[in-house]
Amino acid sequence: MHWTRPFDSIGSGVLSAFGALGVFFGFAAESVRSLADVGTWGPLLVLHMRRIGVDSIPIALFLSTFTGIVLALQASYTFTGAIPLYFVGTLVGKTMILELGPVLTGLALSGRVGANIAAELGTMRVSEQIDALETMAYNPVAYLVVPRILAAILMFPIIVAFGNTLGITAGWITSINVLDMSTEQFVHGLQLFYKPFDITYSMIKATSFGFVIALIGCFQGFHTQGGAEGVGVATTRAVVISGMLILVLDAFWAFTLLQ
Amino acid sequence: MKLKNEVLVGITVVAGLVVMAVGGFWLTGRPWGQKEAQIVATFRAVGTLTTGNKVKYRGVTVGRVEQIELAPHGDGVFVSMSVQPGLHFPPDAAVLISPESFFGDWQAEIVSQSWHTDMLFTKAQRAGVLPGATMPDISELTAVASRIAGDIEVLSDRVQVAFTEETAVKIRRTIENAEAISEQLRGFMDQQTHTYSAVGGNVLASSANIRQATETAKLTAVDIRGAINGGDVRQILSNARQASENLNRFSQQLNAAGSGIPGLVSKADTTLGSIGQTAQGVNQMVRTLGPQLQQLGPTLEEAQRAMRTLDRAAAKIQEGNGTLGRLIADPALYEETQRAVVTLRRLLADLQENPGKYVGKVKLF
Amino acid sequence: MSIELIDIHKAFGPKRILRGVSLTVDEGETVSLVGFSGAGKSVTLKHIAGLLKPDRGTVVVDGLDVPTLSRKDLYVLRLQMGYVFQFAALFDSMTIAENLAMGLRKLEGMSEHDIRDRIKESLDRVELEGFENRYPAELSGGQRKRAGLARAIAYRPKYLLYDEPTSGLDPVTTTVIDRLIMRMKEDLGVTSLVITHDMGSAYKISDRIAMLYEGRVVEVGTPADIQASGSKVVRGFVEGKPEMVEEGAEEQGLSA
Repeated sequence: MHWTRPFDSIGSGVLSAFGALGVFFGFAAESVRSLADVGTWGPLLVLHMRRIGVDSIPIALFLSTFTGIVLALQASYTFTGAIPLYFVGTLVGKTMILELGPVLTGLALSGRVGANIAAELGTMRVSEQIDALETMAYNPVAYLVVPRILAAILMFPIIVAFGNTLGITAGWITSINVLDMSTEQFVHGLQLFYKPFDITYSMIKATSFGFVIALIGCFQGFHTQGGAEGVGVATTRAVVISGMLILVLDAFWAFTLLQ
Repeated sequence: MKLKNEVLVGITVVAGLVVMAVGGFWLTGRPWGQKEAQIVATFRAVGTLTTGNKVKYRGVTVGRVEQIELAPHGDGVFVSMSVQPGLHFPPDAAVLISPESFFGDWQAEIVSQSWHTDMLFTKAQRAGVLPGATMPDISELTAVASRIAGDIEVLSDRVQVAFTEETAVKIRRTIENAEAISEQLRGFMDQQTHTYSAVGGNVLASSANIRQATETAKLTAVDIRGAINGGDVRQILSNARQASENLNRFSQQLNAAGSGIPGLVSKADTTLGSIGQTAQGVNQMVRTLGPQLQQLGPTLEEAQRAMRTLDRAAAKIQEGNGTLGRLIADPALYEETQRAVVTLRRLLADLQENPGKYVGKVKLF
Repeated sequence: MSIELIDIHKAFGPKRILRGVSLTVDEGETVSLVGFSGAGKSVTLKHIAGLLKPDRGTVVVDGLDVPTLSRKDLYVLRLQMGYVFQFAALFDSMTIAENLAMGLRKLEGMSEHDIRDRIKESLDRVELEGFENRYPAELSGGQRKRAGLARAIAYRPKYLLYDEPTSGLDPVTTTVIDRLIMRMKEDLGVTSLVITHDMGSAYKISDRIAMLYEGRVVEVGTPADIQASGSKVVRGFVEGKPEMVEEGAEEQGLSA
């Protein structure tokens, strides 16, 4: 074995990593450029807002209802005897708005929305429908990617707002029925440490998660190779990568906005 | 009926925005649609008060802190609060900032200055601005209190070993001062207890235990008095030691009682209790010794200086009608007391190392 | 008004697919591009539509240098080209009518009424009358290919690019498609390049046939020329004799 071999493999590894990153940022840049093509994506926006946003609400509500219930019960389990019970309200409200509302919804929707986008665009790629768009003078990024990303950015905060509300409501109902707390106590705790920035923070997170999920889904779908198996790979990657990025972003926002 | 995408999306977006706006507003706890009255108060400092904290009047939440800003030249802080309209406040109304509970949330309370004669309120700088005062955070108080208490306890231990009449006089004065301080601390605790009563059942239960523990301490004090009447100094001193042992037990008891609530409570109470009780015990003892001490000779320079400093600090507290809070709020006084405590420590260390230097003069033992 | 491929080279990573393809399709002519699977026929076609950019060489369509066109000009040119995909590539979320309307909406000055008329006319041409509101999934393979053809001709392009229009079809449907390709040429006067490996189709529909082998065009000629070709590679391919192809490749020094 020649002594240059290890360096060669390290070098090509680095280069291919940068190459992949370059393709990704090229794609993101192309998406931004394609924003100018309003005529192409404009008419499709509402359709995708419906598919990505409105249709995702049931799963988000389901998720946050149970999260709210569990939060209330766990908080009371932790606090009983040590800290006044109205802190259940504080914990449910804060955790729901700041963390679990956006993050759990994001993770769930990376499965629902991200996988859906990747599978759909992946199928369109392998069945040459994306090429077909090109041959009919459509910019496929403007036609397929931009409306999905915009729809996700616009609808995720709405979904999360519903989720937060229902989660807190579920926590409240649990508290007064199961935990022997009064509405006044729960509300007192809920309002105790509330800052208007909490909601802004929640919405910033939701928006960024929506963006990441749609962008990764589109990117993976767009760059699908091979047949049905390729679509499967793209879908899995979309879910895994966007799930990871959601958690990374979550930490990023906590570092930058909560300090 | 099948709704068009546009309609569905429209409904969802509007509903989402309404939920966000209404929910966000509701969580701030502001009342709906009422026109609120604004009040402004001025403070030297505001502790950890932030916007959104509650404004209370006679224990009832009547509004929120809206804005906190430094006075134009930085010589104070203006706090704007919005409160329910139509409230009538006493003519000497002022705003008192204090911790609402042990968990870091603060409140602004509208009070009459006559209810808190021990607090030093700012002077209103212009019409429409209320005077204000800030209670020190409990942790600041207990830190200082425990330092003083620790020193006194060590001192009372050393009394048996090293006892000159002059030291005794000074110690007595110190103890008197400490007693005054502890008295004021207790007053502060009463206030705090009033404030914390909202915290709920756990603290109430602990209070009962605290009261019980206090009873134990009182019994010890009675023992001491009996011993003093007997006139046996050794007996007195051993009683004093017993008193501090009891105090230790007492503080353990308190700790046990306080296990349900954050350690802070028990720590504060124990410390304060210890100071009071120790001071009482030692004071009694010293008072009995008083006449004999008169006959004793020259003084120890260093001890005298240290005691004088403490004296002065205590005197200032008394003259200013202040509290320990005032002592802490005033950097100069605080510094001075700190220095005194340091000197006292040095003295104690010296006592420990060279007992002969002090003991030689004592005829009592 | 012709399609010119000038010395096209294209590699995907280490795989060199095209190694200097040169071919001219004159106006109104139908040329079939034949060759083995994986010889790079589809890749060649994608270069003409500007879906791929050559590593070397260039493509001239309608007098325009395709690889260097701006996106705007490329899109204008693409509306002159109809692309019939191998598996039709119909948008499966849309009805057949909506599929056909996609290209038409990009044309200037078409009213909704015009669009509807043009859809009906195009479907009539491929004998899919009344299929407007069907979805691609509801169509058979042959019907889908015809619908794909209808979509390509709906906006009346000057050039038609067919990617294996008859592969995977039964003989009868193949004949139907072949006839359609010939009709498009007669009725609309389009210039066509057809990719196929079905020699029967190629003989029927082509004015000329080009053979792609190992990334190059090895022979171009009328169907009669090809049938009488002296090249062992061409004869081997036409007659389905792999040994002959290998032999010929060695003789001519074409193998990789």
